Formats: sequence, C-alpha cells, structure tokens
Amino acid sequence: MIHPVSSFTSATDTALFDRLRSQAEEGILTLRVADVLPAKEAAEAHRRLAAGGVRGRLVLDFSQPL
Amino acid sequence: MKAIGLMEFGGPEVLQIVDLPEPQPGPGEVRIRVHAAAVNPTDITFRTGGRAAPLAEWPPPYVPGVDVAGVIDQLGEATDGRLALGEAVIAYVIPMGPHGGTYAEQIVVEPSGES
Repeated sequence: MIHPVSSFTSATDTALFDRLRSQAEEGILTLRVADVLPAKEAAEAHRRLAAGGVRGRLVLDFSQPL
Repeated sequence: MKAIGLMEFGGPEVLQIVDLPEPQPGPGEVRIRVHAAAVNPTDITFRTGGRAAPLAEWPPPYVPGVDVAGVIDQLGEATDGRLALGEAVIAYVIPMGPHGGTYAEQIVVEPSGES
C-alpha cells in the first residue's frame, strides 16, 4: 500500500516528532550520517548530494561561529 | 547572526555566508541555537528557484534548510512550558516563511514542530 505524504503538511505535528524522537532514541530508527561538514562548506555539500552516491545525510555543523 | 543564504537562485556557488539581524522569538515561539542542519534534496530545489513563488513575498537573502538539531536559547512570551531554556531539541522548519530555513546560527520556530 502506498500512502502519499508530504513533510510540509506534517510540519507542526508535535506527536509525530515525539514518536520519531523516541524511535531514534530507542534505536528503532537508525540515523545514517554520510559526513559532517563545517557550515561554510554548504556549497560543497550541495555538490556532493547532487553528484549522487551519498548514503545517509550530509550534515552541516553550525556549532562554531561562522 | 550569520547564516548560509543566497541572494539569487542558481548553482551551489550561490550559497554564501550572510549577516542577518539576530532573530527574536515572538509570542509562542522559541529560538534555537543551531548545532547541526542536514542537507536534504529539497534544499537543492530551494536553491535553484523551485520555491521562488512563496519566497517572492520576502526580500533576499533566502536561507535554505528544513531540519535542525540544537539547543533552546531564548523563549518568546506565552510559550506553553513544554520547552525550557538549554533543552536539546530537534525541529522541522518550512523555510519559505519570514524566519527562513535552518542553515543559520540561530532560528526562531513554532514549538509545535519540535521535540
């Protein structure tokens, strides 16, 4: 069965986010990070995503001042 | 407050460091000190102008990014008490509004999209 969904229509569904957070904390959902880049390398991250072959999400690190 | 934004739609090179006023949470809103923002395919749609119509309501720079992990660093008035200062949170953000997206040092969000 295929159900059409849009992240935009669920953007304020707090219960859904709580469920996702719990499932991540319990290890039911595994979070795959392909790589972490400094935020200033956002353009490079976009190039890598567009090139294909990235498994998991590229993450931009904003913890240090830009 | 610095962010990664774009002044015109285009290739990856349009993404640049931009200086923006420090965002202030309005009633019911909270501000997150952003630690991490994921790069999602929809960010490329945003960058290349696929969301230009809703964005036309605001002047550039436009800041992409839909998801964020960080820490609450300011509460607006009349927040419901579910979220506290210093709390680690995740949030989902629609980046076509006045607050922009998650490629930023700080972002103001409605608490309903947070956990």
